[in-house]
Amino acid sequence: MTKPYRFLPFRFERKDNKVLLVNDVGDYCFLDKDQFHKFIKMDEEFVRQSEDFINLQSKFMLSSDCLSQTLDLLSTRYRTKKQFLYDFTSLHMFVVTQRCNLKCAYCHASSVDEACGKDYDMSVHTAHKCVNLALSSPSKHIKIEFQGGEPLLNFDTVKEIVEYAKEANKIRNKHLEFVICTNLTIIDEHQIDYLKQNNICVSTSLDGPLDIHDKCRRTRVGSGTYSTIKEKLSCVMEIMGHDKVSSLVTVTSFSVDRLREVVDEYIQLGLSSIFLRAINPYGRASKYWKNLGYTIEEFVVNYKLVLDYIIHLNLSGIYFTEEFATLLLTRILTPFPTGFVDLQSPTGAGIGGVIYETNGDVYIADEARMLSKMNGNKIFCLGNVHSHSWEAIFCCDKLKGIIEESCIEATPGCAWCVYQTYCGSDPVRNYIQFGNISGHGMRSDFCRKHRSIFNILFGYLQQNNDNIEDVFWSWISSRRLSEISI
Amino acid sequence: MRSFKVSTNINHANIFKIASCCVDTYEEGENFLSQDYNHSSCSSLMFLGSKEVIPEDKKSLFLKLDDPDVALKVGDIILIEPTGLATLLYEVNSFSNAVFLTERCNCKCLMCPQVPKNSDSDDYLDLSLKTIALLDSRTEMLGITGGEPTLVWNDLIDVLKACRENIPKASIQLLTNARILKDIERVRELVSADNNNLVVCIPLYADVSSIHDEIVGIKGAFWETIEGIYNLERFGVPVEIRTVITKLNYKRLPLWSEFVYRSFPFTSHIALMGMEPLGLALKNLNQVWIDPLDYIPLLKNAVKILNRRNMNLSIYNHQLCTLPQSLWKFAKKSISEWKNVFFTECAYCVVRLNCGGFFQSSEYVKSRGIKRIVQVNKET
Repeated sequence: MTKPYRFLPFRFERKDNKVLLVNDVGDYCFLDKDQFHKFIKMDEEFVRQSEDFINLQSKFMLSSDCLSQTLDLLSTRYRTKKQFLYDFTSLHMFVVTQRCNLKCAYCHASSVDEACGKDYDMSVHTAHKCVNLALSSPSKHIKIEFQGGEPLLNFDTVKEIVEYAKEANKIRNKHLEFVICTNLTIIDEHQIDYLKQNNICVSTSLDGPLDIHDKCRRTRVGSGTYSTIKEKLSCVMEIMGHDKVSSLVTVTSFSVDRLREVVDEYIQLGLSSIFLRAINPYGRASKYWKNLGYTIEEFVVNYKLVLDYIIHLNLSGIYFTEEFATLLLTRILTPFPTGFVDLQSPTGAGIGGVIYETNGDVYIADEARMLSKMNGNKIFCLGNVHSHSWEAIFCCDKLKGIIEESCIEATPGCAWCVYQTYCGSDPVRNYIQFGNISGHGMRSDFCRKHRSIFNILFGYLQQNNDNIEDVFWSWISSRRLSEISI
Repeated sequence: MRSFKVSTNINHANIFKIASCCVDTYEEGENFLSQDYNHSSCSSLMFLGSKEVIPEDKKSLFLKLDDPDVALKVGDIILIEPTGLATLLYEVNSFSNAVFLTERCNCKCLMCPQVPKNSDSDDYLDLSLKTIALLDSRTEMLGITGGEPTLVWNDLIDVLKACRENIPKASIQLLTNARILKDIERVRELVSADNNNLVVCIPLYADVSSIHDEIVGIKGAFWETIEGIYNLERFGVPVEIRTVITKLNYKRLPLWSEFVYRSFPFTSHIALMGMEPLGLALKNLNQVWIDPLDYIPLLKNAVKILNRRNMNLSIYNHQLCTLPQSLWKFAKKSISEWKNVFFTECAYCVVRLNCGGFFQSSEYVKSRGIKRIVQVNKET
C-alpha cells in the first residue's frame, strides 16, 4: 500500500491532552493526543475526514503531494530563519577599560579599581587595530558596543573609536551603529552631548527600587548608586530621547520575588522596556552565590508572574515590553531570525559577536573573557589584534571546532527537543559547567531555564487569547496596542 | 469594459483620445466628437463639443454620442467601431484602468466572472499598444489583465516595453496566476522589459494544494504559483497576493493568512475579495457562493492575523453593511465606478458614499446582511 502522505521534519512534545508540534522553519501547532496518534499511524479516517489533516499540511508537518516543491519552499524559509549566518560577525564589543567606579556584588566582568593605572585601559593604538578588524567583517551591519569596566572612564578612547570607525567606514559604507554599556553614574553633560551627536545608544543597568538596587550596585567604598542613576537616567533620556536608552535588570535573590516592583520602578522612570536577566554564576556572582543566587524554579515562577503583570499593564494602555520574551516570541511567531548571539544555533559566539579585551585579545564572548580572568584558561581566545590577521582569527580551526560542536540540531537532548527551532547554545557556559562545548542538553540550568520560559510562552499561545496575542505582536512589531487590536 | 452606442460614419474601427472638450452637461444627441484641429498631426486626438461649436464644414467627421450618461473626459480613450459600438478603453478618473491581453486562460477557476475562451476574438495587442501610445506620459497606474496575460508571452513583453517607453512613471500591475513564472527565465525576461515599476498581483486561494487546485481546476497549479511567487521575489519584484472568498475556501481564511505571512512575508499587499457572481461564478453558484455573513468571523480573524503582522491588506468587493464596523477601514471601493450599483436597500444609507456598492450581477445573489445603515457608532 502506498502511503497517503509523508512526514516533514518536526519535533513534538506531549502536554496534558495535547501534543505540541514544531517544524524546522518555526511553524507550530497543538494537536489533540488521539488525533496525533492517528496522524502518526497514517490512519485513513484521519486523511479523509479531518480538518487537522489539512491544517498539518498548511503548517508543513506533512506533505501529500509535490514533495520536491514543498522542500524548495521549506529550504527558502529555512534560509530566512538562518539568515544570521549570512551576515557573519556583526556585534563587536570593545572592553575599553577594565576599571570601574562601582563594585557590584555580582560583577561578571572582573573589573578593577578606577584608580588603577592606564595598564587596564585600551590604548588608542589597540583600538585602531580592533576597529580595522571589526570593519573587515563581511557583515554589512556593524554594531560597536563599548563595555568595561565602565567605558566612561576611558572616554577618550571611546571617542577615538567612534571617529576612527566612521572615517574608516567611509570607503566601506557599512551600516554602523554604536552602543555604550554604562552604569551612568559618572556621565557628564559633555559626554551626553557627544553620545547624542553621534547617535550612540545607551544601555544601562537598573535593578529596581532603592533598596533592591543599592543591595548590589554600589561604589568601591560601598555607597549606593540608586539616587545618582535615577537622576542621570532622567537627564540622559530627556536629552537623547527615550528610544535611545534601554536598561536591564540583573535579577538576584533580593529581587526575584519582587519583580513587579522592579517593573513599576522602570515605568515610573519613563522606560518602556526591561530585560530581565537571570544572574549567572560567573565572576564575583559565583563567589557570593549563596547570597545572590536562587533556583531556576524560583526564577521561572516569578518570571511568569511578572509577565502576567506586564501583559496586564499593556492591556490597560501602558506600552511596556520584556525584551527576552519579545525576542523569543519573534522567533516563534515570525519567519525571521533575531540577532541574539547568546542563543543561536550554531552559536553566535565568534560568528555573530566577538569581544576585544583591552590588550587586543579577541574572545568569542564576554563569558569567554571572564573565564580567562577567572583561571587563565584561554581556550576561547581566538588571537590578538596585534599579532593575528582577520583570517587567522575568524577562519581558525579553533573557531570552526566551536561552531561545529554548538549546533543544537546535533546535540544530544537538543536534537529532539520541541523548542530546538527557537533555541540556541552557549558553548562557554557549557564548557564551564560540563567541561565540553556541546554540554549535556537537558541537564543544564541553561536548558531548564529556557525550556521553562518556552513552556510559559507556549502556555499563553495555547490559550488563543486575542488580547494576549495583540500584546505579543505589539512587542514584536514595536507598535502601540491601538494600532493592532481590531 | 464599458461600452455604449454612437452614431458614426467611419469605415474602420479606430481608437480615439479626447484631447479637448467644451461640454459641461451632456444632452442626448447633442454631443459630438470631431477631429481636434489643435492636434491635427494625430488623427486619434478628438475634440468633444456640442452641435453649435463644431463648424458645419467638418460635419462629415462627426461622431454623435447618443448616450448622455456617458460623461467623457479629457484624457479618456475610446474604441469606436463602424457599427457604432464604442468601448471605453481608458478612463482618466479611474484607478482601475487596464489593458486586456487575451481571453484565454490556463486555469478554469470555478468563480471566474469571465468565461475563458479558447481563442481570442480581437487583436488585443494592437488595441493595447495603441492605447498605451495615447496615454499621458505622467500616467500613474496601468493594469495588465486577461485572461492570463502570460499565455501571450511576446505580447506581454511588448506591452511592458511600450509602458516603459510611454508611461515610465506608471506603476504597472500585472494580474496573473504566475504558473508560467515557475520558470525563472521568464521572470528574468519580464524584469528586463520593465522599468522597476512592475507589481505582480497573484491569486492564491488556499493554504493547501488540494483546495487551491480544486478551485482553479488544475492539478499542480498551487505549487507552480508558489514557485512563480518565489521567482519574482528573487528578482525583487513586488508581489500582491489575492484571494476570492468562496464556499470552498472560506474556512481556510485564518490559516491562509498565517501561511501567506510565513511563506511570503515580503508580500507588498494582500487583497481579500468578495466574489463577482458572473460568468462561471454564476454557473457554479451553488458550489461557490457563500453569504458573507456566514464567513465574517473568519474574515475578521484573518484581518486580525494579518494586521498584527503589519501586513498591508485590503478587503475588496464587500458592502459596508455586511462588514463589522471594525473592518471598514480595510474595505476599499474596489468595484469600478461604471460597474457598481446600489439597490433599493441602499437608499438613505448614511455610509453609502464610502461604500463600494455592488456588482451589477449581484442582483442574482445578495447577502442577507444588506441593509440601510442609519447610524454609525463613533467609537470605532
